[in-house]
Amino acid sequence: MNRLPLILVIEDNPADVQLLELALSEAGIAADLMTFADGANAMRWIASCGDPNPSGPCPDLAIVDLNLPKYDGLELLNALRRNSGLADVPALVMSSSTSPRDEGRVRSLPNTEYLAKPSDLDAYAEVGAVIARLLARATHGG
Amino acid sequence: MTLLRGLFRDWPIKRKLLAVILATTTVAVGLAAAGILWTDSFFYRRLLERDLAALSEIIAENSAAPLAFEDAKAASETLAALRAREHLVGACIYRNDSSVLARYFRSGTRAVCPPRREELAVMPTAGAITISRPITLRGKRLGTLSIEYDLGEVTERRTLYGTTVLAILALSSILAALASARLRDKVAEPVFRLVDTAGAVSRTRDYSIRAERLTGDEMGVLVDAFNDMLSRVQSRDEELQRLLLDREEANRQLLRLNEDLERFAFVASHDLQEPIRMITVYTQLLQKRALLDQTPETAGFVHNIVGGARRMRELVDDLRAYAELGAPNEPDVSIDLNLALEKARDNLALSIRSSGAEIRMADLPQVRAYEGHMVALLQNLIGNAIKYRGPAAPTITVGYREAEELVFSVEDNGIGIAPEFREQVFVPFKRLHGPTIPGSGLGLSICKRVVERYGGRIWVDGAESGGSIFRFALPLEMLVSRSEKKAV
Repeated sequence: MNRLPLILVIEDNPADVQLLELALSEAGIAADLMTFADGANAMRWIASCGDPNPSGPCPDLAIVDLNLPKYDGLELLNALRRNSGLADVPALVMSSSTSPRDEGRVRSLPNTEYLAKPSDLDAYAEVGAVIARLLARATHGG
Repeated sequence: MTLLRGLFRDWPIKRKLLAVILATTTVAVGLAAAGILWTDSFFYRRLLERDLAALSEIIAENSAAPLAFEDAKAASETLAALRAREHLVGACIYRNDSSVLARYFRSGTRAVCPPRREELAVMPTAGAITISRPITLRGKRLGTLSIEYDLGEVTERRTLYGTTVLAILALSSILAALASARLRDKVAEPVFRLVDTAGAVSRTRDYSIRAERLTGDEMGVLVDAFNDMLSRVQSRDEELQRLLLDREEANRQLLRLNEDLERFAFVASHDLQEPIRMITVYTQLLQKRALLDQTPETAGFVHNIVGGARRMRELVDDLRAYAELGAPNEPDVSIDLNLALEKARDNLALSIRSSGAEIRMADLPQVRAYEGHMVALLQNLIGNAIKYRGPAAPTITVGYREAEELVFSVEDNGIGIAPEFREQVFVPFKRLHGPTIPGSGLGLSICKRVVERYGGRIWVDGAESGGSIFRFALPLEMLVSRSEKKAV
């Protein structure tokens, strides 16, 4: 692997982005983060990933917040899956919602994991572990 | 007779009136006819007797000479004059020695002389009168004249009269029926109108309809009373409608208010999650990075911040769970309550371990419900039992029995609830204990809301151990089947 894995992060709360970065460094994951605060910009960025020769870099993993302005996380995931270049990219949905309904809806999607945003610092260790596992799948599984 | 009376009772009024009129006419005409008939028969018979007496006297006088001279031919000619009387059956002239000098018989009758008597005698016999008269000449008796006269005339008269009476009766009945038609209508119409009005009211439920008062008699009084009753019913009906509308409006408002409140609770609880999480995590981060003076005092501060945030999170979680119970239902599916109970126990694993609680589980059935509801219900009841434990390690027994309802019980050996508070514990935010035992005050409200959502009920009794027995009953219709699993 010549380049670091690229993680697409769609999260409107900068604090959560910061906590995510901390979790990655705690878990010893080296990755580039491409962060968007809303879905519209993210969609523009990934649009070319469906082309045979993408003009820009394409993500190896998408981390999406469920409650977002403009598009909600589920709409975003569906758009992601429709993009032929990103159809198989693993996705991690992180939400402060502990509603089993939301969790169920997310888990029914293919290749998609669900994690509640931790309410405890120690729980970020699990976030790091899940991301490491998904990245390993993305880069080795092909 | 009873049958007839029953029939008469069910007849329409018009037919009853007609029947009464016809019966009256028949009785009146019948009685009059019978009286006339009897009187006529009586007087006619007398008349006939007098006529016969006169006739026999003439014949007797005319036959005295032929009898004196034994002139049978002349005597027969005298008798032959009777031929003009068609009802005269026969007549004979007897000598004194009872032998017959001359006789006359109406053609076609048996030739037997009517009996003779020594004195003048009128003898009524069946269907006839016989008169016997001595024949004398200058005071000397020469013989006897006997005449038999049938009463056919009387019978004919009677037949004639009878036919006339029947004709009159028929005619008068018809006339009475015709003449009384208008009268009957006049009597019956107010009744019909009232019947129609009553029918219309009961059919349309329009209580503003009134019956028309046509007469000043008892029917008029009845119509007034009926209308008065209708007025009262009408005003009561209007009152009722108004109350009903008021209540519907109040219900709508209440429902709207409730929905607003639930939406508020949902949004508030959801949006509160984020800041609480931030407070907790960043405080922990500060502590971890040793950016605070690590004195026992500041460590206590951080502990309090994190503890407060955690309690706030629990409260918000409960609030959201409570608010979500008002949201549209997930479709009910068949779920195994044993699995729901295991999930509830897993969710409580930490507090079960730390309190050393023992949970005894009965064999629970399969029911039709939303699993999240059942897990929340069992989890809150068991969590409650652990939270309000006594000095001893908690022993919690989950029981189940099937009666007219599905009755579940969660019994603990905890601190118990005084009888006067046993209803209040289900009221939202009602807490019986201060900050020593943390809690949102929503757990049992959530249980109550879940149970009532399925049409059941929940209550609490005191246990013999001094703890509590929470029981809830769900409708039998929810039962899918008894679980196959054996009781643990």
